[in-house]
Formats: sequence, structure tokens, C-alpha cells
Amino acid sequence: MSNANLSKSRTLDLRFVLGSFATSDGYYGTGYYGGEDQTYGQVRGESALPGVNYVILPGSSSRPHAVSWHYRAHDTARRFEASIIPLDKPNFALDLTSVVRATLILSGMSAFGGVQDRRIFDLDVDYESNQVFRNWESDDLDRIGRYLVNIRLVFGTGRVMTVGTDDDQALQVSSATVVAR
Amino acid sequence: MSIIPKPNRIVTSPDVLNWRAGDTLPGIVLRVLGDGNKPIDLTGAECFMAVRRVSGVPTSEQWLEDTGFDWSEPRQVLIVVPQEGIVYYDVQPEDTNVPPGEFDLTIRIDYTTETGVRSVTAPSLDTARLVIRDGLEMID
Repeated sequence: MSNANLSKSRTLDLRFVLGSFATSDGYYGTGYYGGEDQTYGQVRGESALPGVNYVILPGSSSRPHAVSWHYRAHDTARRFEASIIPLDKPNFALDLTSVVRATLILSGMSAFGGVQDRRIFDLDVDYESNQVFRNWESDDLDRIGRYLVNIRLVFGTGRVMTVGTDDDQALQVSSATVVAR
Repeated sequence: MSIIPKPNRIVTSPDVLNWRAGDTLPGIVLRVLGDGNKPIDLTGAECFMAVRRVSGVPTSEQWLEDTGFDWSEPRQVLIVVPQEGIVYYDVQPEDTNVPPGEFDLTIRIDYTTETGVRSVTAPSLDTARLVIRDGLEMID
């Protein structure tokens, strides 16, 4: 009996828990809890969010030995790639099946650490590798500097999640100048 | 040059949920624990969540209207798995589309008994809190 259980506890506490059960269980989105119009944030059949905290990691851009976001100005040879990793299941990339729009948000850092400017680019989604990417256009990387990286994902239900790096991992645009020998 | 060391790291259960302005994922999934960190059975109960801003207090009249999570009244949350004490709140855009700051939260559990409704509260006394991070408020 729940009342009996409750009275046994002198104190109660709260813990955040992972959300993966929500979309994978049979009752998810069926209205079993809360009525027919309840979706618990996603609808049944959508890709599940396996966790609650995420970070983005650089993709390899076809160069496995150079996993980073380091480009020369006006570089278009290597595309931007990133995976969204749940911290509680760090060996899996987030399933992007239900993502309908992905946006790259670059925040240029000043020499003093503040945000100097902000640039936004649309990203494509590779649903097989669960990576987002952008094939740079020549004017995309026209400003040298160091940028904090965030990716905003819009899911099919209109839900929005913004994911950033959890450390100093940044996108670097360096000078394209080559000194002749 | 950066190599990826992260996938091998050990990660504990989260204490903090982060959003940027306008985010609606992740939703808030909470487990109510009793003595010995055992889940409380919520069968037959109703749960309400109260959220209070504890930092980044707005100063302008405009911001005072945009309180986000700092609701004036507790809101009912869904009991998703009653036997496990798990409740869910579906985060709305207006909850997070506010100036950055931190919020703590409390769950009130109402049990209907023969003598009436009995309420108990489960506060986030430790490190569990909600955070709206700054930096991207200007994004459409």
C-alpha cells in the first residue's frame, strides 16, 4: 500500500533519472498515463532520448587521424562533422532519425574570453552514421578565430534541444596564408 | 589537435539538467526516493512540481513577467512509473525561454486517504537543480 510505504520514509529526496524508458516502453505515447493527448515530450515511434545530458564531439571529416574542428580560412576541403553523445551512454551517438532540422551555432570568442559574434549555419543529417555535417562554402570560414560550438536540434514534434561541448573543445579557423620557401 | 578521450569516461547519474533558451528537451524525469534511497510508490497519488529561481534573478519589469520555470503555482506532473516513483514533466518553450539562471525544485505528493488528502514534499536538498545556460538567447 503506497500510503504505508510513504509513512515509513521520514525524508524524501529527488533524483533525475534517464529518460530512455519513456519512448521505448509499450505505454509510451499511448495515453495510458495522463490521457490520450499526452505524449511525454515525444511520440511513440520516434527515436528515444537515451539520456538527459549530451555533448557534441568532432567527426573525423574523412581523416581519422585528425579528429578536430580545425580549418584554414575559406577551407572547403573538409566538411564539419559532429556526433551527439549522451554522457550516460558515451559509446553511442544519439539517434537522429526524428531530427528535422539541425543548426550549427558558432560563437566567436574575443581575446578576453567573451562572445564577440555569433554565426549560424544549417547542418545536414547523415542518418546512417547519426552525424550532422556541413559542406563548407567558401565564404563560411572567412573569419579567423576561435569559436565555441553549439548544435540546435529540432525534432519532428517541434521539440528543441541545444547541445554544446562540455570542455574547451572549440572550432578553430586559422590563417590560410602560406609562406613561400 | 584534439583526440576524443570522452567515450571512455565514467559518468554518474546527472545532478543537473541544462537547457539553452527555448529548449524543450530533455524533459524532466525524476525519481522520488525515500529512506535508504529506495523509490517511493506513487500508486494512487497525484504529484505537483514547484520550481523556484535561485540565481540570475531578473531585474527589469520585462524579465519579471518572463519567469520561466519560476511558476507562481505548482504544476501537476505525470506519474510515469508509479511503482518506481518516477514522474515526468513536459518542458515547455516558455519555461526555458528566459534569462539564464538556476532553479531548484520540489515535488509535492498528494495521497487521498479516507480522512482526506495527505501531502508530503520531496525537496531537492542536494545538488539536483535546473539550469538555463546563457549565451544563445539571441537564436531564433
